[in-house]
Amino acid sequence: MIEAGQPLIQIEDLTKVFYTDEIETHALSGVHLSIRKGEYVAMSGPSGCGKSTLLSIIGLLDTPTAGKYHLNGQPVENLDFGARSRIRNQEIGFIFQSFNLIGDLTVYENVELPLTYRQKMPSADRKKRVMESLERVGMAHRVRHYPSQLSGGQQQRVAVARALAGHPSILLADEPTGNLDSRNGEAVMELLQDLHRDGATICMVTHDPRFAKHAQREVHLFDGKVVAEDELQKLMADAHV
Amino acid sequence: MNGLLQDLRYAWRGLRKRPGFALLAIFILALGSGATTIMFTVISGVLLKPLAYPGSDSLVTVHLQTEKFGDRWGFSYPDFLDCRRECRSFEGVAAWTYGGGTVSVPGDPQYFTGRRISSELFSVLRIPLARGRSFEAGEDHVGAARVAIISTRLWRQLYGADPHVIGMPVVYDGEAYTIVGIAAPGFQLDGDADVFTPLGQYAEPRMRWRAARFLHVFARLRSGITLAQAQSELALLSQQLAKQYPDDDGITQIPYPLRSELVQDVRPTLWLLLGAVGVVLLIACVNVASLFLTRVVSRQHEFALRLALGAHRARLLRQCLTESGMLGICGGLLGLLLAIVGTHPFLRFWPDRLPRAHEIHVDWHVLVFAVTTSILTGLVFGLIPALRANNTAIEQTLRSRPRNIAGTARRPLSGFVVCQIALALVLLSTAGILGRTLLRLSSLNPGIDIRNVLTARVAVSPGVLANPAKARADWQQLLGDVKRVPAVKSVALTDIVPMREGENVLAYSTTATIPPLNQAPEALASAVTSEYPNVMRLPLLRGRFFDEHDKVGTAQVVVIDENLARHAFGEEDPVGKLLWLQAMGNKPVQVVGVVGHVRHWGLASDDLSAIQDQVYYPLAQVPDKLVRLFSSVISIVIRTDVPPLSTVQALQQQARGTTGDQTLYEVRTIEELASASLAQQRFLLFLFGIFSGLALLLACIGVYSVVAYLTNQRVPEFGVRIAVGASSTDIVALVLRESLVIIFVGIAIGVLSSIATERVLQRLVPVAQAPLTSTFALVLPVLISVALFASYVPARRAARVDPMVALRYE
Repeated sequence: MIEAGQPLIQIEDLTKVFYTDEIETHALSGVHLSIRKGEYVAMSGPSGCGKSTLLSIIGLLDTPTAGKYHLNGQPVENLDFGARSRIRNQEIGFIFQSFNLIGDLTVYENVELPLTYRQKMPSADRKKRVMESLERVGMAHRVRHYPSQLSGGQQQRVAVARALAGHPSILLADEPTGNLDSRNGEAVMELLQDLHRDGATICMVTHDPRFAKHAQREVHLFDGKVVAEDELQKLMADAHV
Repeated sequence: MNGLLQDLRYAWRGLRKRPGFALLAIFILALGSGATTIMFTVISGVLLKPLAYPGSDSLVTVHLQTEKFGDRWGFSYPDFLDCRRECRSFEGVAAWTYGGGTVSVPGDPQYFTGRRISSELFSVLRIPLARGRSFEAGEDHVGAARVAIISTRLWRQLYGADPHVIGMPVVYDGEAYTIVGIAAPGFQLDGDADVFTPLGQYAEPRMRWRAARFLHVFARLRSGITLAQAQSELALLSQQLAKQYPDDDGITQIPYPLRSELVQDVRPTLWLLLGAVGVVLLIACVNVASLFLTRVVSRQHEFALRLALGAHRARLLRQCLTESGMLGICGGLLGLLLAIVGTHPFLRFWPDRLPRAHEIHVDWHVLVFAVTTSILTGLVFGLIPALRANNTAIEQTLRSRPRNIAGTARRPLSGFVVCQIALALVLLSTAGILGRTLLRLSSLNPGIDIRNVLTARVAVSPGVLANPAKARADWQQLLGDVKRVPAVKSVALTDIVPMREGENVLAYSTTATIPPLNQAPEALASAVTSEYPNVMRLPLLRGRFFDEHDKVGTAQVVVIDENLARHAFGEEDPVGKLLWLQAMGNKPVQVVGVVGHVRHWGLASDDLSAIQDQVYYPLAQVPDKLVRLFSSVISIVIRTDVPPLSTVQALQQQARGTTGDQTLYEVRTIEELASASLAQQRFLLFLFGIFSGLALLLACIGVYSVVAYLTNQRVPEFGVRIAVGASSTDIVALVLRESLVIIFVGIAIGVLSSIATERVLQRLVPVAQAPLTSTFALVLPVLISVALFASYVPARRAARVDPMVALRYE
């Protein structure tokens, strides 16, 4: 069990190369990153810098081409699909830019979804967890609604509840405010901050500096590499010239 | 017009862009419409088109009906004469019966089928002869000059199409006839016949006997007289005859339209098959509709753009229908081609003889049907998708905002799959019922040992026919000659053969007073020689069978079957009891034995026959006056210890008689007759097997295409599920579970429809009886497995979705 302050995610010399026809694209090149338990990290950088790719690898949705990745002290870079599914289900909560709620399921069922993939979890426990999560995001009164009956901000709250329901080790948020107006965007950011204050580990991808400031620490990516903020400014300026 | 041309152009371009979709849809529709067009071609030729006779709507056939049994009986010759003389509703009445005999001049002796016809037959039918003239009234009497009309085929075969054949002689059945006419090519009277002779010239006893109802009667209604009016007059006439002849009490003459009479046996089968192909066509339509809907849904953006650019919704509807109509017409034309090529090969599979088969052609009726069907199918499968395209939400679709993942087309598509599964189950369960029925019927005991038994009709030497003693001697000689063939174990003569056409039904009584004809119980009577039970291996249950002592002059004896024994004598031992048979006058006959029941009417039909009792009497006791008649219907049955057909040549050689002009014809094995008695069931099973296989294939394609489309639409959803921890097994299970729901809804509807269909099937094919529950137990696993397999393929593909790609799918 990782204690607060200890590295929950440890990435060393991570590389991701995409091959399309005969073109080789290096999305990530030698990335080193460590996220401690209870930390709130924002990943930022220009479009195409590799933020979402890195987040997908952290979330075990994708595998690195090379490098090491330890989650909760365990190496996870070479796991098969089934093992990755299991870890995703138990350790990781996703919040997507476009909410990705399932339209045919009610709010309750959407939040319950990750729990249904857990073996032998009694329905009473599932219900307790779902209701706790929905109450946590202030959506418990909408359990019977379908996503299409909710505003964008409400849908993202439900998406956050779904991410929380599994009691994950880390919340991964990919541009969580990207499809929201500023008021709803702020509300979601406040919700994430509340969760962090309560002890959640959060890793958020954003290209909006205003929202990045909500995080404890900002990690800047440029051309698939982690760079310092001043270096990023320089590189951006060079790229602009 | 411009708009329509433009729509056609767009439709053509759209289909060319997706040749796979277009070809699959056209192929599916062609299968459905091809099968339907073939069946319609047959139905049009057999049931719908007027008969080939001029003014055929006024042609009727007249039958006798009894109040008690309701049977349709033929006329006796005296009945016919009464009807012809008295009935004013008809402008002409004609009668005919079967015949046949050996033509010994010109050429070698050869058996030909014939018909005995009254002199008015050709004029009533208004069929002109190819050459010569028809019979005159004066030639239709005993003692008149012997004249004959021959078929065109016989004219060509025996006379080399000699144009001077009229007036030439033909020796037929031992009598010299003068040819007075040649029937038109292809003329049929319940099948082909080659020699037509005047009915009234025959002096045999049955011609005078009012109870011998062996004649078919045709009549032509007078102009302005309806069938109902003719029926009223015939009813009055029947009442008058009943007063004059008490045996006729309760018997009514009933006219039926000739067309419906000719085709009544095949009508239920044809409608059943049209219904079945209609179901296949419906499945094809639903199948293509689901394909078309997936295509329309994937074109929502295009439709939204067209609407945004000012297209009217009606125009959009028309565009969709143009495309579906184009597919429908292409499928219909290909189906028509299939019908043109496939109708006659299909008819070759038809068991027995299909009435009016020679009138079945792809004509303008069929063309109209095919074109109408193809346009309608285009509309049917195009309408729902077209309406859906018309409901495109322009703003939402064009902006393509990030949206939640919902199967927008899931409901109608699922509905299509439900329909296909339900319809496929209806066909499968029908095929299952027919299959189980055929199995059941095939395993029935025919009552005799059908293996290694050969039967043939005997064309007795014409020279002996006139002399009963010579004819009897000829029968005995025939038995002796045939027995000398090495492979023959036993041989017998009979007038009727089990499971073959031909019957002789007699009323019987256990008292001296035989009830009126329409109330007396009836039995199937066979005149046989003493070896008959050995040849047939007919089990003797009590008493004895006939022997050489049972002949003319000795006490008349009969052997009855177990059914007659039970019906007539209950639990008593029938041996020694007396029986009065209608045909034997007032003298009783003594029952000397009881044998097992034989499924004479066929393995399938025997249980349904109204006549279940059977009686055997010695051929040797047939009175002299009937010997000629029996000689014309006699058959030989032979048990061999080798495959019976291998002995035919030797048998033909031995059976030629002293004058060498005796022949055996219609040679069959009893196994063939037993098999033929199930031909209709086998044929239906064969066709329903094809139809249900086709339905299963189409349903499989339908399930696959719909599940594939839906899973493809749900890729983002699967991405989310995988992101929150679903394994590939979870995804496969999810897709299969949802497919199963659709499949089971289809099955539930299919089960209900099958129960209704079973009732229809039992009305149309009464022998088709098999427990529906066990039939379901047989076909449901097949259907579910196939449907699940069709779902598994796309489910497996869905489980391999790359979540990264899936989540960016929008």
